Amino acid sequence: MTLTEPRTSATTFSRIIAKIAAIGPARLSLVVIGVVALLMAVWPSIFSPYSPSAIDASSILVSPSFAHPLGTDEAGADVWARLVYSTRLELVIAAGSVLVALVIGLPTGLIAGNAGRFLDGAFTSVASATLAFPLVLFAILMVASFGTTSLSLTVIIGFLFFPRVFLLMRAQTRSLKEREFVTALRVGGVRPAQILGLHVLPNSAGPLLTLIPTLMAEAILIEAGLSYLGLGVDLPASTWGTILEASKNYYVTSPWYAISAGLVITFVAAVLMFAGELIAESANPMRRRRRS
Amino acid sequence: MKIMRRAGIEAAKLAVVLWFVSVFAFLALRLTPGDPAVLLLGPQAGRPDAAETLARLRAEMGLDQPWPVQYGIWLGDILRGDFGVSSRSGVAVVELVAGAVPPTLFLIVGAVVIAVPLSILFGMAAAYFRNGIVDRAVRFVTTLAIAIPAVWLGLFLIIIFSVTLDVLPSGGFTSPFDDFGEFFIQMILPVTTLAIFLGGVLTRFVYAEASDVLRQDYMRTALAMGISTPRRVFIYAMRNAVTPMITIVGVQIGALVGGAVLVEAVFGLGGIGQLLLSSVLNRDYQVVQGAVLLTTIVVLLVGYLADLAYRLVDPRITE
Repeated sequence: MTLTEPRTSATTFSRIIAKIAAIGPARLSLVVIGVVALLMAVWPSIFSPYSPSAIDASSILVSPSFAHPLGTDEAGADVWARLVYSTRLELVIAAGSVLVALVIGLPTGLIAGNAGRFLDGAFTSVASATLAFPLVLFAILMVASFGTTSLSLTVIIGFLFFPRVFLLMRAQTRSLKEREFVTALRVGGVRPAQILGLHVLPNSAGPLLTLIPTLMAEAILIEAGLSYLGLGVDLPASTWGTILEASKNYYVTSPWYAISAGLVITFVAAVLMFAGELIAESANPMRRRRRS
Repeated sequence: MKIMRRAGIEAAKLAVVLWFVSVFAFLALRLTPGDPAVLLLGPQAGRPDAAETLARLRAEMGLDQPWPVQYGIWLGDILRGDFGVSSRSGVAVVELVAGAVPPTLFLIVGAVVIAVPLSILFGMAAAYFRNGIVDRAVRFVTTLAIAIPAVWLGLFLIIIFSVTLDVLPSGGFTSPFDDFGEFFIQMILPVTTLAIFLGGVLTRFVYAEASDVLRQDYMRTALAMGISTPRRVFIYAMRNAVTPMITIVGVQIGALVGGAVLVEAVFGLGGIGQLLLSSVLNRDYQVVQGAVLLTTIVVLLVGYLADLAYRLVDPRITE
């Protein structure tokens, strides 16, 4: 890749073009989608002229038109505007739950991977018990008990994800522990905590970065499922899941309403999963060579 | 002998996990606001003279005892095979759960029966034609199958097949022993919905395993010996690529029950998920505890048996 790059003769502009071209269309479109999603979350008003909470009795459940590209909902609000304005909370819940999973899973995984049999066994048992238990049943129990706020949803989904981070981190620690550079550090008198934090953790960045978008996609899907059961965030807050939940009562007369809500969820979840695969390929050159 | 010891250790672990779940199911509702006696009494609970009635109701449900005593009584009853009765309807918990199991069970079994052979076929084909059009198509479709929210896929199928084409019912559940034809027709859409999700997960798994197996030395030797392609792929490679699937189905059974809970809500099948949801909202402690525990026992048992079966089929597995 670097060999084909023009070194001296090219202008700055063409060099930039070459650099962008070297990223490849797959990566480039992911970056563009990511930027658009972030813009929607931060500054939704530039994507839709309508207010997501506007009640308009004269345009209830209107079919898609030029004025309302995805039609309107049961209160007469523009469906596209509602989806755009829900992006922020949706991304906060998805990213927040992954953050919760990392906060619980990273330190416990590092400790369990480095600890003796007893502590390791105890941690691993809790993680596999959480993993074995049907997630949705657990979530129903927790959300119905602790209430349907975005915070409780985030924490509960994050807790459901923690075994995935834990098991990955534990396996990474166990295999890195046997590597020569870690032995050298230990012999050199570096403290175990320092080895784990400054050497084992950074060396596990690749697999972790692969897991993060995958978990975000799953968080969005679980949120949609829970919302459908009536366990989504409370009004007036709204997510793609609660929009889908509201639309289910009108699927006979207004199918586009339900279809557009689900399409957005599917699209974003699929993009995040592809992103996970791409990161896996770049983090692991062996895999890339095998693929192409 | 080794496998017997292994089975013993796993069974002990299973018991510990079950105990965790029982404590968790017991505490989850008690740690959070909501008094079952108030909910049972309904609007009358707000009247000034209701205190006595409420106290009597709590005593009847055993809720006037301290938590450890309540937990001890509950656990003791369970060990004797008594899961208690619903505080709302007075029906035995076991009976309620047994009534809710068939829709969920048939849904899961149907999805497994459809998804397993198809995912073996597509996963093997994609791995064999690596980087070809089949590979790319399979990878794209499986990602989509996992990324589609199951509830929305269900709604979408209803919109197409029930509303627009009007060829299949949009929901309901009939016992296959009462009317098999009706049962079959009602289950087509729910089973398809769940099978698409499961198929996506399993196909990717078979694909990854088969890609490794097809590169093994013994596969090249088989090719050099002039063994036909179908025989190499579907007998030599498939055996090694598909065996680990036993564990995956075991691990995925939890996710599968979760998916089934969502799908049964879309199609109104009245399964285990709806029983749990309504009893959580009604604060029906005995039913929630019993349903959670019984479901977990089944899920863990399936995982345990899958693990054991895998060890028997493939003796190389030790850790």
